[in-house]
Amino acid sequence: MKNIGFAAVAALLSVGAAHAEWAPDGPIKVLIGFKAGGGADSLARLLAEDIQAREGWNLIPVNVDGSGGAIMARELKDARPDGLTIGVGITDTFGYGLLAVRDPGYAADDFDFLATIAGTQIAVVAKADRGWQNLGDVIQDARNGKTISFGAMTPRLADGAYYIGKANDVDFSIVSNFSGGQDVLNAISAGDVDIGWVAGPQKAGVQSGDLVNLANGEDLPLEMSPDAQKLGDLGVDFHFGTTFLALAPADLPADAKAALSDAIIGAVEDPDSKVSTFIQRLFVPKTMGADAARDYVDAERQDAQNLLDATAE
Amino acid sequence: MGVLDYVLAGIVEALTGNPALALGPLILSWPVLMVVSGFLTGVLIGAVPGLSGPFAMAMALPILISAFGFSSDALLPVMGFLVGIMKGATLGGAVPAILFNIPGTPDAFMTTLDGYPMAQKGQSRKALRVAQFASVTGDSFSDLVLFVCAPFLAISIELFLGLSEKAALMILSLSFVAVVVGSDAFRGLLAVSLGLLVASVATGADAYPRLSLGSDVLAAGLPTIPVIIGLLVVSEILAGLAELRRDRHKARAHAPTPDDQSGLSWAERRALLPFIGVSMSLGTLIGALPGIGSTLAAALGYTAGRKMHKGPVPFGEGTPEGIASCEAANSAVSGANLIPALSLGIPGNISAVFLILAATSIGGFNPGPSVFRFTQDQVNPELVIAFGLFTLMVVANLLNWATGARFMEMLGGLIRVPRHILLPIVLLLTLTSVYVEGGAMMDVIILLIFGVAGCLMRWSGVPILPFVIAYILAAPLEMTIRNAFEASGADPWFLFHGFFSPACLVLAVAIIVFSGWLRAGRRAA
Amino acid sequence: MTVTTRWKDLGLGIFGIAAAGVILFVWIPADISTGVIDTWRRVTRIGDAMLPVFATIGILLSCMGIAANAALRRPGADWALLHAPMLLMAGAVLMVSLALMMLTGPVLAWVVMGPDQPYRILRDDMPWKYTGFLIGGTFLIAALQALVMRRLRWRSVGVGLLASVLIAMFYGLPFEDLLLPPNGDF
Repeated sequence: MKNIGFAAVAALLSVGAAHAEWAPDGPIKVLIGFKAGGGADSLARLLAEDIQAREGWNLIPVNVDGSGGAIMARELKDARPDGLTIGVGITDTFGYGLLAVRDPGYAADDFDFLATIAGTQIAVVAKADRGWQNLGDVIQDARNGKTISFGAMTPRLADGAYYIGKANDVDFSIVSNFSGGQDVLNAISAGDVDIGWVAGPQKAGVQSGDLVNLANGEDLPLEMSPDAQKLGDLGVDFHFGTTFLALAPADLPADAKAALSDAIIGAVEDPDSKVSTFIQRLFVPKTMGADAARDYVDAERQDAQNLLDATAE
Repeated sequence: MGVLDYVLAGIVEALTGNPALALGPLILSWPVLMVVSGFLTGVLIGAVPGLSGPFAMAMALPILISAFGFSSDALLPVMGFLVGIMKGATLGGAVPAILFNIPGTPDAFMTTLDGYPMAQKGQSRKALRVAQFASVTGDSFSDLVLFVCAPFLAISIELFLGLSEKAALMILSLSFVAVVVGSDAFRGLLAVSLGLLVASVATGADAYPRLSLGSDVLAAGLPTIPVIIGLLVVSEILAGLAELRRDRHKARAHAPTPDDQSGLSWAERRALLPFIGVSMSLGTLIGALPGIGSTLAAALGYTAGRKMHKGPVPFGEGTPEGIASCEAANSAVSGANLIPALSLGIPGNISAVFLILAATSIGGFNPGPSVFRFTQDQVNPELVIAFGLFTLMVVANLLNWATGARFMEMLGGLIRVPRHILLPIVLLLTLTSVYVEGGAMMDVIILLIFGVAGCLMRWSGVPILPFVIAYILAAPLEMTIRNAFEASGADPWFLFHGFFSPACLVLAVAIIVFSGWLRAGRRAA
Repeated sequence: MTVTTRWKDLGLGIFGIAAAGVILFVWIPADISTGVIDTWRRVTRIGDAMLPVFATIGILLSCMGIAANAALRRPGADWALLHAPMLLMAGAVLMVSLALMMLTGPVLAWVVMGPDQPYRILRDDMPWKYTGFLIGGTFLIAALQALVMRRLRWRSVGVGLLASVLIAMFYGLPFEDLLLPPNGDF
């Protein structure tokens, strides 16, 4: 605290001088858009620990889960843009999540994107003992009159599930209130839903043979199961992968934005950091700075518009 | 990982993970340090008349969260401290009950009936030994039941219950809590409904924060810790102060009678065992049901003991069996009432409320059936935490076995700080810790508003515990119902398929109607 | 059951029924954006109004039960004493002490350092960090004790100051970057 008081006095004295290196004048709240214990949550918490260790800042992670990250976005939007509140979420929330919801309560311009962190390994997952090899088998069962419930954690994935059904003439019962892929995975394990989207935490289960990736939701082959069925084979020309990113309320001062962005990318790209080890285990690394992150989100929103047009009645 | 690997991982995590002190190969871990300090704090607080375990937990929780932060390393130390308080307070409550005829905690009232007469006969040391022996035996038994039942129950629930069954079970628990807490089932139902209503403020799925009255403060959602501490603790302090003002000249504690320093022989201990056995089984059973507290357990244990007793000194005139019956029963509640909390995520009583609050505030541990997934290939960190918590409970019990009696004897002189000095200090400490934890003035104001609301509830006889349990359970209940509805393909009768859910719902309605309407009619007649 | 308890129960029941009516027919429709059941983009879901509607129906039914039991002279629960004057006085004490905590620091700084010094910078440093808390905390403890004892004793002030210092040390020493309440937190 004393050094921060000192920093503040120094900042006052050096008015007009070159801007000093930005440092937070208090603990940084990290709002996590997904439920505790899941992939996004672990990612954000490890990132916070790494930044704390590397920069000496104090970071406090808080789970603000629900509606595919939208709840976090709404809370973050109203925070003061002083670098003391940042969010960790997914690009989905600022692409599809903005377009498909009646009134999202936030817009892409409400935020300054700081960096992208990692890409998902999303797949449609089921328990292996259900006997399905791929999503085609599930669709076959559904055509034969079996009710299939399909878990999803964001509106986009819910629409994706709908579109997969539509393209194959079946109706899934889509369960869309999960707050994270881990939540869906728990529901699959407990038999609460038959199949569902999971974006990386399924890896160990797939490798041990308890779970099976029925179909690949990414545009590239999955690292854990490169041969999983492609959605293209089922007449679906979209992909549903998403990217984890860090963001802050709009109008963050430039020095704070640069310092936060550098701190995040530095931690993620450090091969010895906890977060990079974690990403290697479940996801794929994907770092982009502030400007590239915004372009990426904008491009993803365009893709989302196309999916929306395709799923419109 | 197999089951044993998980148990082992939990033990290792609790005993050596997160070391606070290391002397060569000897490691004192933060979790162990915290469960020990929690236990000692609990005995002390429980021994002070007017303070109780929930008080200590409420004051400690925000402080602990500020101190240990939000990493998953914080879970075991924080929950360990809370568990330690829970165990210590039950033990400590017996000290003033025996020495001064003042129950330190409400569940120690029955202990005064035989404890104080024994102390008057100069047998206070023996009485304390009996209380400690019965308490620690009951507590250890109840913990064993918890260790076995919680994983088993959780796994069966995951196997056999779908979403709509889980929702129906939560509704049944709420209705059960409404009926068993307080004397009027309708007031219990009112408390549950109010809890659900307050929990709905600003928590919906839609962008517009529901029921927020256009206020920015409400739109951000009510902070859980201030709401609950306000209702439970601030209202208790305010009511206590008001009572003290009314009867200023309440009788002071008498000086204790000189003691003959008699101990408790092994033969005497063995003679107590049948009483302890019956009482601890009753206590464990009651503890496993949501909403029924240790006070009722103590009363039932005491009644059962009186029926069994054939000794020379009758119950109520200073017999060790009386103390043992009561203390074994109220201590056996504490372990068992974590069964619904850990296996279902349903907080059955105040200690479970604070444990769940700690887990959800820190993150990384979501009490509920998914904790007990024995994943083979990949470590389920929540399960390791659960076994770590069990280990800490064993550590607290061992400490209790070894030092509990001596510690109780030491407390005699410490517990005569008058309440009118204590309560304002506790209030300031509560305000401070809530502010420090949330970092916002609004949290303190919400704390005080709910403190006043708690006073109004106490006034009108509306019980607070069902409100708090409903408030905590609202979010999981709503989420489960939403998912169950969608999984059924928007079937309006989604809660009425099969046997289990309709049975739960019918039972839920039936116990309210029976207890609120028919029983009131019979009492009037 | 006594006559007053019966009238109080009846009052509680009727008040609850009226409140439930207002919540159900005015507050919920006006202040929730989706209904009990919500259909949006071809998916039918449970809307945001479901939980509050059922909670309010619970309030309505329980209050009808309370009122009906009272009307039929059947026993409900016991009413405790409200202690309204004490509650009001304690509330006033709390408000004054929170105001002291918030304002003492800024006002003192304004007097000592002049009006140009922004308090946000000072509030982390000695002695400003503790002035408000110590004065407000001492007042809180001493005044509540005085309310209970019906007279103010210097001993209470001493106890209050001592307790406030201890609590301030308890938080101030181990956690350097914590702010004690609620020092100039506007």
